[in-house]
Formats: sequence, structure tokens, C-alpha cells
Amino acid sequence: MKAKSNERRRIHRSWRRLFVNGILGQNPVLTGGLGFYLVLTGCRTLDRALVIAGATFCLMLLVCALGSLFGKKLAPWLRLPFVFLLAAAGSVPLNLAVWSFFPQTAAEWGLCGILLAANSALLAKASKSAVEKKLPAALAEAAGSAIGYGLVLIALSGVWMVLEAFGLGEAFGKAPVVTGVVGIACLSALLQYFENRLQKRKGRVL
Amino acid sequence: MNELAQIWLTAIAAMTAENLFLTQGMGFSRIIHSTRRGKSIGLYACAVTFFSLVVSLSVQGIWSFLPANVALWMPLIAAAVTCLWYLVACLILATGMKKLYQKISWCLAPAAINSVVLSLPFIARVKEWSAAQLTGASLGTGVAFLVTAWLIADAIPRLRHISMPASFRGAPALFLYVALLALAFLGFVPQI
Amino acid sequence: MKLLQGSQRYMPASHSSTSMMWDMLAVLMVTSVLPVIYHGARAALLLGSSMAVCLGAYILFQLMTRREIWITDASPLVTGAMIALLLPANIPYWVVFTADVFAIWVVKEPFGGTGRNLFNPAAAGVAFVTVLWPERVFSYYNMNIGQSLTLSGSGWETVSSPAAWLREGIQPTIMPFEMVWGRYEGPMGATVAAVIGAGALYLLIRKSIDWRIPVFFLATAALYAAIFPRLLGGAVISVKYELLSGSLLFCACYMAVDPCTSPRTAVGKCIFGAMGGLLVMLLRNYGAYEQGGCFAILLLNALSPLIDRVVLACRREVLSRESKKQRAQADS
Repeated sequence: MKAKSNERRRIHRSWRRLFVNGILGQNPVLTGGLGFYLVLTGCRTLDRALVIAGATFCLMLLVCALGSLFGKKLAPWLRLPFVFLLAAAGSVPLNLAVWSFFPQTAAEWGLCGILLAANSALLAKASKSAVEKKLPAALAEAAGSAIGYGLVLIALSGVWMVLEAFGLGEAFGKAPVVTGVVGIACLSALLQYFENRLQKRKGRVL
Repeated sequence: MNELAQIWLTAIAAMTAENLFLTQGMGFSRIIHSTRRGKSIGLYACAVTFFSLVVSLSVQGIWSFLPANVALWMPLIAAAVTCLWYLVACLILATGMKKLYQKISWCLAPAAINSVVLSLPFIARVKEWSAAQLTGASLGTGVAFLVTAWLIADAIPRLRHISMPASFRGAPALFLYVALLALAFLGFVPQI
Repeated sequence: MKLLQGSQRYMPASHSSTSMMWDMLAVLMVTSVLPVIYHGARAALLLGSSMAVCLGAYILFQLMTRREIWITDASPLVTGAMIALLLPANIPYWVVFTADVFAIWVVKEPFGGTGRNLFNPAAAGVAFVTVLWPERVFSYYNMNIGQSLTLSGSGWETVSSPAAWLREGIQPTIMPFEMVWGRYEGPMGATVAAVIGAGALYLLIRKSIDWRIPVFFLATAALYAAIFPRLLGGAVISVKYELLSGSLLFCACYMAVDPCTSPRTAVGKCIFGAMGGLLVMLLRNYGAYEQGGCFAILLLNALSPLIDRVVLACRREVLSRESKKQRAQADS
């Protein structure tokens, strides 16, 4: 009885770790450099960032869940195309929903709607990680990664808001990739700084 | 002759002013992925070129049969076309060129997916562009992929040096390197 | 936090990094004498404040990351001086400071500081502000009015530089001989061709720079200008104007020669210089801006390790073929 509850606690702890890792330690953008185009294009306004973050969250959960359930049965060379087809199919109702509820954002976001399905953060998680895990673990990791992705989008949109407030939005908008990637680099460095401090503290404890 | 000129000009544009990786940030993660196997970057670039070309030409071919609100269905159409071509490529290579397939199998699927990302901006113009222009754009994209991947692969070993601040070693320095590479290419991009 | 003396990190073994940087700083100070005479106190203030901001940014970064501060490291001052000299004398101070902070905090220090930077910080800083505010970087106050610039630098009539005229295919009204002393509209310190040439000569004598890069850079640019002139006056006129206008000379003699970001091999340096000349001319003809020197420098910096690798691979190939031949001869 005790062994069972210990086992359950261990499993829940592993899910929590996967969830938190997805947001921080293995943030798809800041550590893996994944999904750049959507981040760079989506972070220009807060509205767009929130819509893309929400859409990515829904799509990632859906695709990782299905990938976890059915991906294991496929040969490794078929997993990525399978996941991609799932993502593409899932993006159609999502695009419809965005057009219905957020028409302004949908009109402005250009190729973002189409590229939701080809988001490398989503595809990498679903095809490599989710297929190897059971459903609850896959969902925990997907949720963490999607939230981490969304947080980066929102943080960068905050930076653009500050630049717009100082009247620098138009100027920095001439080099959106440079500005965006430098912003991502700074966030990544900040994350790494806190990770290093945590490792140092663990080292001292050990 | 005119078509050759079109191919050449769109290829040059795709390498410089319309370099999708460095001026729009598309496909960046695939470039990093390709640098992990330094010697196979060339094969990866060839696969990217091939899939970009066939996907954009295929979509151009079926354009008139596509639904009216095509933007909504574009992801599914592009995904279906890409998967079809991926399966065809795997079949041909696995049966006819086994050695090459063993060498290239790791990058076929990512290259195929990447081609969707890279060919979509051109597909969006497919009504206005000729087959020659799409060909040139795909070739230019492949060359741009190759050069960018080489540059990044060369830089990666130097981005973990002990003299760097600990917070910047690895991924943050790589992102800064890419940002500066993007800045260098902005010299070719006309400002609107 | 420690204050340290001495040379910092990697530099070619033949010369210490400290003395190289101080040589470059001395040359830049001499280069700035004529611009200060032409443009007045504002030029000196711009130069001094740019150097101060770079130094301050460097110290602040070192304090934030709890690293050593090298008090004999002149490279922040060199970066600040280069940035100021590549921009017009009437540019707002905040544009220069933006370039300074970008150069130190994004291009230089995160990669490990002097000797470890992968790109030339001054080139990157100037390229950054060129993209953001091209209308400020390429507008020069009219020097023909005959008065020195005020400290604020604003409210003056602005005119185009000879580089802008060349871009339109129009021959500038100023004679090439008059361009040698830099009394015309252009980047503050990049117009004084005579002084830049003398400075480059000094650096060559001091062995702070290698002759191959500037020679091949200028030769290739001249060849391109002769073969594809933008002016109707002929090859010679085209070469004179192309070499003397814009920041080509400054980039070739002071920036492309940076030992941290240029190739290590002799053949590599020749290729690097030639590519530099070609890239600058291509950017002038087909690029987005009237001057593309800084963008060309950044592209070259990215290609520099690749150039070395190709040269070393070719050398290895040649050596292995020679040794095979010798072995075959010895066997026979």
C-alpha cells in the first residue's frame, strides 16, 4: 500500500518536473532555439502574442496527446510526417476560431496562421518526446513547453511595448529579426544565469 | 534564355535580400539541427532545395483546383503535398539507393517539413510567379541554407569559451551570433 | 571585481594586444585632428563622449558579470573612436551612444571581450544605427556655409555626400584631389584619405596590421570600379571617386585589419581583403544604403574562419600530394 502511494508520488513528481522543465530548463525557444519565426513575428503586439500563445498551447496539447497515443505504433521515419499532418489538420479549426473571435489579429498576422502547424517547437516535442512517453507525462511536458513558449512571446511583446512607448517602435521595426533575436538571447542568458545559480546551490548542498 | 535569367535573378534575391533565414527568421531551428552533423550539411541543403522545389511546383500545379478560401486550408494542403513527396523520396531512395538513404535518412523528414516553412512565402505568390521563378527561389533558398548552416557550424565551437561570461555560453551566444549575421544581411535589404 | 594590467586574451604571438590597441588608438586620434578643425568643438565632444560611453559600458558590463576590468585595455576607446569617426559630425549624440552600447554589450563583451569577439564591434554598432536611422546617418550638414557646427548640431541645412551622388550615377562636383584632405560632406573621420593612408603606413611599420588585407581590399575595389564604373567619365575617374568617397578607405585600413576577426593564414588574408573590396562595391551598387562598408566588414568577419579552413584544407591537400609524389619517386 505504502509502496503504491510512494510510486504514485514519484510519478506525480516526475510530471511536475517535466512541466516545470518545459517552461524553464528546457524552454523550447530559449534553450532549443525552436519556433523562432512565430516568436519574432508574433511578439510585435501583445494581442498577437496572446493569440499565438493560446493557439500553440491548444495545438501542442492536441498533437502531443495524439502522438503519445498513436506515435509509438509507427516506424521512427514516419513519426515526424504523422505529427505534421496532425498539426496541419488541427490548425484548420484553430485558424477558423481565430478568424471568428480575433479577426483583427488574424488579418494582421500574415503567415503565422499557416505556420502554426510547422512550428518546430511543436513538431520536435510531439515527434521526439511525446511519442516515447505515456499520455499524462506527454501532456505535462507539452503544457509546460507551450506555456514556456507563450511566456517568451509575452515577454518580447512587453519589450516592443516599451520601445513603442519611447517612440522607438518604428525604428527598431526596421530590424525586427535583429531586435527579436537579441531579446531572445538576453532572456536565454537570464535563464542560464538562474540555472547556473541553482546548480551552484545544489552543488553546495550536495 | 529569359527563364534562365529569371532563375538566376530570383536565386540571387533568395540568397540576399529575401534570405528567409536571416531577414525573416524562418527555418532557423532546422539550421541549428543540421549543424549537429557537420559533414552532412550539404546533403541536408540538397534535401531542403529538392523539397522546396517540388512542394512549391506541386502547389502551383494544383492551384486552380484549390478551394476559394485557400489560406485556411493551406497548412493541410502543404502538409499533404509534403508528406506525399517525402514518402515518394523515401520509397525511391530506400529501394534504389540504399547507401544514400542510410546517409540521408536522418534529415529527410526535417528537410521536408522545413521546405513547407521556406516555400510558403513563395507559394503565397504562386499566382504571380512562373515555374522558373519558383525554381530560382528554391535553389537560392538551398544555397542560403547551406551557407548559413556552414557559418553557424563554424561558430558553434567558439561559443563555449571559458573567457565568456557563464550566462552567455552556448545558446545565448549562438542567438547573438545569428542576430549579428542577420544584421550583416540587412545591407542588402531595401527599406520600405 | 579586479583591475588588471597586461595583455588580455588571444592575439597573434608576434605583437602584444595592448600595444596594438594603443597604436590603433593613437592613429585614430591623429585621424580625428582634421575633422575637429573642420567641424569644431562638436566633433571633439562627439568623439570624446563616444569613447567615454564605450568605456562606461565596458566597465558596467564587467561589474554586472563580476569579471575583471583590464585598465590597460584600449579596445573600448578604439571602438568608441571608430564609431564616432564613421558617423557624420551633425548626428545626434543619442544615435552614437546607441551604437556604442550595442557594440559593447551585444557584439563584444558577451563573446569574451577583446580578442574573442567574432565581429568587429564598431562595424556592428554603425551598421545597427544605419538600419534604424538611415536618414540621420546619411545626412551631412552643409560645410560650404563656412561656419563650424554648433554643439547641438541641429538646425543646419543638410546635403548629400559624394557617395550618394555616385549612387545616382552623378559625378560629384568636388575634385578628387580636394577629397584627399577630407573637407567635404561625409563620415567625420572617413573622409581624410591622406591621414588614413599615413595612419595605415604607421601601423604597418609598427607591425600592428598586415599589409595584405588593405592592399587586396583596395586593389579589388579599384578593379571593380574600373570595370563597372558608375560614372561616365571613364575608369580612372571612377576609381578615384570610389576609393575616396564613403568609408571604404577607413574600413580597409582600420577595420578589416582587426587581427581578432580576420583570417590567420597569409593566403586567407589576401582572399579576405579581395572579398572585402568586392563586397563593398557590390553593396554600393546593389545594396540598400549608399555606403555598405560596415555591412561588408560584418559579412567578412563571419566568413573569416571559413576562409582559413579552406586555405588550410587546400594546403594539406597540396602537401599530401607532394609527399605521395616524393614517396613514389623514392620507391621507383
